[in-house]
Amino acid sequence: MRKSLLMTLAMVLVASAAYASDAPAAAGAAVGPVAAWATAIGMAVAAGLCGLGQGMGLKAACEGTARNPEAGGKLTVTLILGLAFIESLAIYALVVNLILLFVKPLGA
Amino acid sequence: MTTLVQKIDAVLYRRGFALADARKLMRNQILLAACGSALVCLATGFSPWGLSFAAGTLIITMNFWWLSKAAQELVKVQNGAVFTLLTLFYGRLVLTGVAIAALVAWLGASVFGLLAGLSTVVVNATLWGVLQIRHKVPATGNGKEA
Repeated sequence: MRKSLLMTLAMVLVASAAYASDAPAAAGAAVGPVAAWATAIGMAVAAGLCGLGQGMGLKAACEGTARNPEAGGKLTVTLILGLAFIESLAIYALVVNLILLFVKPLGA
Repeated sequence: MTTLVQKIDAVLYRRGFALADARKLMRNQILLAACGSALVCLATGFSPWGLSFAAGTLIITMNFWWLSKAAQELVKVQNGAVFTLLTLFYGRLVLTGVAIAALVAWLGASVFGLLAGLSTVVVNATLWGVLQIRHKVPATGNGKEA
């Protein structure tokens, strides 16, 4: 299963690069599809990993509160801070990806 | 200033911020966002950079509001908390993405202003952490105790 997923991903990436290199407009035109793929993969990785981090943080906070209910308040504030930092990372990744898509710092 | 802080605290308490520390954190974020946006807008003469900064602070403050409210409720839930958190996280991310895309792509907002505005929550959380550590560490004496 994992092998087939990796193969599909590799084929898709190679195909997009190949189509991009066929374009006559040379270097400038090749950046477009590559940037789109980079944006999609970057956002997927960022959102997935940030979601994983948030889930793990909440799991630990729930366990801590269940074991020691008196510490629930402090744990909640620490959880909020952690979640805010993780969410900021996801939003930074989003902004960088949107820059790649719309501002096009690498060319058209 | 004290009255304003008390009023914000009262509003936050009515809106479900029952924990004192979570309320303080949210209040600091609101004050930082409002004062920061006003200062930057006035300093830059309501330039696109300043307005982008204000938009960034607004987006991240609303995000932080929903995050704080959800986290306070989710810690008490024992079953299905992670699924709810992830659903809320992705929902917020989609809404934030649409708002930022609209600002960057169609309204031509300054990306660096937007990023600076979005960073206010990181500044707030870092300041909070530093202040907590400073309160916990006892003041250094003159060395005679050793």
